[in-house]
Amino acid sequence: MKILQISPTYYASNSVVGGGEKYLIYMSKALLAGAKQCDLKITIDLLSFGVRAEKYTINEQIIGEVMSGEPWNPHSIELPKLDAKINDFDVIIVHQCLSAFGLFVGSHARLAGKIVVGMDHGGGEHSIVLRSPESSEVYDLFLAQSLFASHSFRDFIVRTKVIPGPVDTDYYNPDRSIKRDPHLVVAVGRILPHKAFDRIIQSIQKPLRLVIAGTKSDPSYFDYLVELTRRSPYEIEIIEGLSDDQIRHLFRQAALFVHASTHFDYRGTYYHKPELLGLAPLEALSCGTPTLVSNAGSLSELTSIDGCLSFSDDNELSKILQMYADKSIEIPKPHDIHNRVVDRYGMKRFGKELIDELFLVGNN
Amino acid sequence: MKILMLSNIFPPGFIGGYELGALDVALGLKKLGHEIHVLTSDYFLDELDEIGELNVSRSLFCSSISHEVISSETIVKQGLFYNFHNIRAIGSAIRRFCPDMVLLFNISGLGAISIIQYLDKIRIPSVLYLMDNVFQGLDRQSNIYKKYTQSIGKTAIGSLMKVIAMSKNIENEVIETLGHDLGSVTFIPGWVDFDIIQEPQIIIKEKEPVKFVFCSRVAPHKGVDIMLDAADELVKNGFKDFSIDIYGSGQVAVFMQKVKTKNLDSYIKYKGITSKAEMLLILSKYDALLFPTWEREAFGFVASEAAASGCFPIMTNGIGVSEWFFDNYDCLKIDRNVNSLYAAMLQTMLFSKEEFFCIRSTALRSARNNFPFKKWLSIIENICFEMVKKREFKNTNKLSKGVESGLLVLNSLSDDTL
Repeated sequence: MKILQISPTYYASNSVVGGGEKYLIYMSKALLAGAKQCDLKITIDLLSFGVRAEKYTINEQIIGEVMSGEPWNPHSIELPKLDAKINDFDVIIVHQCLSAFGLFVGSHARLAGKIVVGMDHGGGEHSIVLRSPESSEVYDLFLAQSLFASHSFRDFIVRTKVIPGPVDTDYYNPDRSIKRDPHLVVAVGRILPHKAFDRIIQSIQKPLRLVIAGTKSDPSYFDYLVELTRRSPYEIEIIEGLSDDQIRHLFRQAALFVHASTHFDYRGTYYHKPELLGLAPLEALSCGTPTLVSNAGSLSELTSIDGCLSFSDDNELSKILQMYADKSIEIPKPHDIHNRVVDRYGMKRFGKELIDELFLVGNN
Repeated sequence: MKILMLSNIFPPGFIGGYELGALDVALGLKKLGHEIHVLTSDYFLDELDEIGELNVSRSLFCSSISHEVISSETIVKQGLFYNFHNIRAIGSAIRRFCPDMVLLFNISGLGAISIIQYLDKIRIPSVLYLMDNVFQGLDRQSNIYKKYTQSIGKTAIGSLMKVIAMSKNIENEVIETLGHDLGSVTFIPGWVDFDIIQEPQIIIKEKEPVKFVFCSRVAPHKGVDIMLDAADELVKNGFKDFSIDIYGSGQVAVFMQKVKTKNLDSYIKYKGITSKAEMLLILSKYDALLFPTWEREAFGFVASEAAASGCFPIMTNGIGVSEWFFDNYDCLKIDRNVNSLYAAMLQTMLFSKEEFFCIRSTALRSARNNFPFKKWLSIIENICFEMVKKREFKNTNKLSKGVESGLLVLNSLSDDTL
């Protein structure tokens, strides 16, 4: 089975947009893990678009290609090249599938007679989707990474399959040799208003100290956070540019990970889909770190993992943080948290379930 | 076989030979035991159930032949490239009727380009029957063409589509329009159903005026003005032993006023509109058919019908039907100008009794050899059988919906940037 994952943008140090890009790599690894379980030979390629065409490999197993084109303008793509690429594969998984780009790519995959799977990562919806639900029939299947994500497809007649995850549980795991700091609270993510780091800054309390690690994606929000930090009497640090290894180290050190995304940011702006999975809290949980998430988007679904709690507002966030500070909350062992993540969101489980689903679609 | 047939318009009303040809084939294939479902526009209705023996759905929308006034931009966009309503109607018919193949007649005005792409993508065999350039008006340099191909890709005649053309003339024109070849083309001329007409007796009476007939659309592109001027020249030069009877619809009033203005009303008479069957009988009463039509005439059914009735054709050289006749043997071929037609009419008027008999009876024999409907229908049927054999993918239902959606999306995205 030859699978091509297509995403408008790609995961690289200079082009990270968000979890949507990193997700492709997790999904590829998960499919390889699932195929190994099924004793199935598969190949997985990634295709995305950028200013400069290039090719790359990940773990010598996943081949990536960046075609020249503007990721948000489908007409900038060289169509014959795209069609030729699509023709080489059996299954096309289209990310940001409801955006103009996703619909364009998905339609060409459909016209080429491929099995076409669509996934949404919050990259937007073209007006044709709202106008004509039949446009969704470009896809054979919608794949949702969470129950919340599945709501994106509820108006369509195409079947939606929810397969939670995946997260790289091989990379993100607990390390007993690293001592946890009982007062360290960590928050990780792109520094964007809907990630609501401001809520955490305003709720932190002694003896806890907060480290925020992320990329300055919105300078004015970053400045706002710096100002809040400056005014706060508590120990708060904002760090940029950490590598994946450094982030994992932070997870392993932390007593608590907090993810406070919101539907309404500090200016009152509404976000329809602030989180469709919550990759950062999942990575933290996979490292065995107790986690506190808001109830925005899909985040509350993570509470199915022991060690993950959810809060609904700032008061509740403060109260729970207080309980952590007082150690009045029972915390599962890191390996138990990790194992639960493996069971529910792990690579093998996800990969196997997705491959089964692809066969089901193919047989139909 | 179960055959879905598409035609932009369909009898009982008709404008030209294309839709009449479609009707002949539909009825002929039905008689041979095939199940036919015709999908057409509602330009002509059949409220009296005149062709009730066929299953006809008049649910398509034709932009180019419509009772509404439609902008030229819409005619190009929806008529030539893409009409969602039509793709959806065709898809729905395919899902309900489950045809073995699709037979395309005149798809001009229905969104011809995307119909061909749609059928190719849902992997259903089809035959494109070219009696005219159904892509006429396609400008490959235009912005709309560039946007369309940038969004959806170029049209190509795939392995599951076979082209039948009435002439080399029409094949060349379509190739020039599309910019690519049409694969292996089978040429099938216009036909005459010899079951419905008896072989006429050719009787030449001396000292009778030569009886010319014109039977086509009364419009400049069919050469009515050339014919008028040639007749005027004949009269002016003292060659008055002739008459021209006119049959057909079109710009009749304008033409007959010109006849009156030139004082030719004792030579040229308008006879009205008749059915095809009646016309075959009427033609046998004439000596020669005048058919100075435009050079891009794909075929010209009337010339084959006239010849089959013993009325030899005087026709524009190079038109489709002329490929089946020899000049000065079973027809007279003219350049499309007054002098050339004048010369041919005069030559006819100066024929001896033997020459007259010879050319008329030769035309009759040629027509009987070349244009028997039964023979060509059998070839059409065989082509359909061959195409159906190529079908590998039977379950088109889900695929057809998906491809419909794909075309909808790509056209909508294409519109974003138009």
